[in-house]
Amino acid sequence: MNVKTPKIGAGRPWRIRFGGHPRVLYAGLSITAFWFVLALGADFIAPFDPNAQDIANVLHPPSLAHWLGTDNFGRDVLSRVIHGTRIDLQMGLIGVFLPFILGTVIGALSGYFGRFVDVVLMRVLDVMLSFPWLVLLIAIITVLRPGLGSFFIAITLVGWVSYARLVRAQTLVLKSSEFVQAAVNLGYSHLRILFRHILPNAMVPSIVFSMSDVVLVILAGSAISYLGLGVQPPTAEWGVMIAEGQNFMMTAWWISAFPGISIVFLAFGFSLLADGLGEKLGVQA
Amino acid sequence: MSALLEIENLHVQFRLPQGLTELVTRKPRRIVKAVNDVSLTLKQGETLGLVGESGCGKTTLSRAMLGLIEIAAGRVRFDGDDVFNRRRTEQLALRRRAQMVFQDPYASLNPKLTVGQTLAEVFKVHRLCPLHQVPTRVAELMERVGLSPELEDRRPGELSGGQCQRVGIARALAVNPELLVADESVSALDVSIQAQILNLFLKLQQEMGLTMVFIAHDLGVVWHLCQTIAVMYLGRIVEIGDAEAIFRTPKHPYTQALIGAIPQMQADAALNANLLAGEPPSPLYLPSGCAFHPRCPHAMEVCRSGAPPVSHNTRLVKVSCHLYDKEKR
Repeated sequence: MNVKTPKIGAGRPWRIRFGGHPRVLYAGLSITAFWFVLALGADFIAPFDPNAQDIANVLHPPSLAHWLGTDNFGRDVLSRVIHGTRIDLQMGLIGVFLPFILGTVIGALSGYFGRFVDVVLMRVLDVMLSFPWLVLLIAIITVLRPGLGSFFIAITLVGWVSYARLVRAQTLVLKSSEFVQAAVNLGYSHLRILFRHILPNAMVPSIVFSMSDVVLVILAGSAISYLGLGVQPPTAEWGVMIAEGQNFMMTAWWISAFPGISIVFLAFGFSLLADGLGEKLGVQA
Repeated sequence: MSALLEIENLHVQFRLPQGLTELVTRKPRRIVKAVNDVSLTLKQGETLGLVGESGCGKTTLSRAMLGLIEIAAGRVRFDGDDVFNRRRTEQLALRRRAQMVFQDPYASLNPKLTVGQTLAEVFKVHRLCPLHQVPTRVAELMERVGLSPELEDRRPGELSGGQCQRVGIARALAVNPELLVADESVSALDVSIQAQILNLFLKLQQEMGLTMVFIAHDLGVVWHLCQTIAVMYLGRIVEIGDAEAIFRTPKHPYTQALIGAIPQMQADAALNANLLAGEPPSPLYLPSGCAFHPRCPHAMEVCRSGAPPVSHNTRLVKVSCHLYDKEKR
């Protein structure tokens, strides 16, 4: 007898899968991979030196020689966008990694030990949440001094709250789960229970969230640079480039438009990655 | 045979968090009396079945037995030593002698660890053997609970409920305990798997001379396994004693109702008319007198007020019910 086995998910065409991976995850991975290649190979891929000025070719529209045109100093916009990828990716990744670590530690301690520790840490968190975060970010950077280092310090001080809340909520749930009770009953130490049994399970939602947080951090970094508080000119960074190009918006739109499109495209990649990862790990992002 | 576990007048209470209105109106804090004045003794090698409806305090009692939760009053002694107030090294020693198997086979295993890692961790933490022997000890352990060796690298998500429960049992047995508390360990499993796991418990008990506390809400399961039965209702033990005697002639009206509720495998068996009606009262507001009186078919005036009935010793069982007051006198 020939029985046709029904394909799983056959009735749901919007969930087409490639090699077992959700399409969304695949698309997100390809887009972010594209940017990583650009960032790592910037020196080889970029056709011009990003900071080389060419006064004879100022404000040139996109052409075969300069695919994305040149800016008011005659610098090649394509090369600057490619080199800017480095700075922006670095901003996004470090700017998520540091708050992720701080927030995870605080959230885990707060949720696991509870009582006094929890009350104190959660009130600190409430205070942080009561400020608009971008204003707080700008304030901290201004007090330190403008630059990428200050941006990382500020984003760590501001960004940990989301991770702390996520991890704390998960820790509270897991603390009363049976496998943690079993660990307690087996006489495991607090450190072992927290780091081997609770955290690996509690971190899943915040890993997914961190992917979409990369988008926010890059946008914040670009905004900070646009305001002149982050990366300083003449370094090629997308926010800086948009700021530099805004005086020429009406005559030379390409100076600001292409870095802007790059930000959107990079953000899109990480968003898809977050969605796909969330679906794969069974978490709502 | 000496007593391995002694529980004397144990009380466990949970304080409920207060709301704002209760704080303002200065209402006293509400307290759930989960376990009320429970005393029992477990001899070496004995198997005790603890039965009762959901929420009657079985699980709380089992956690208190192992010193896992704070108690309000009373005393729990394991092999003569108090389970609470121990130093860390003593605590670890107790953990090696008394273990627990949990209710939900999936939730009781860390989803991120493989079977092998879960079991190896016990050996490593308790330093039960030199490090290089850990893999062979894990393999032995898996064989003993009937797990095939290729499951070692699987995670709980890739196992069936029965397999997970075997891993849970293996983890508890790794330290070679004397007392094993099984908290509703088969109620989440299919009936056919239940029988397998029960037989595993029986086999292990005979091989290792385990003392067991078997918690269940299914009396049939308990009868299969236990010599002694304790019936709990709202945090109190209402009847305790020899399993055979309790099954043949249940004395307490609640036990009678529980046994009457066991489904009969006879085509024309009449449905039992004395099934219990309604839910047990909230442990927040325990009824005065005998806690069972609102649902008891034999409730008398004496049951409704005053102190809960004292227990009466007969030859094989101890029962707390006013029905047997006269027999005593």
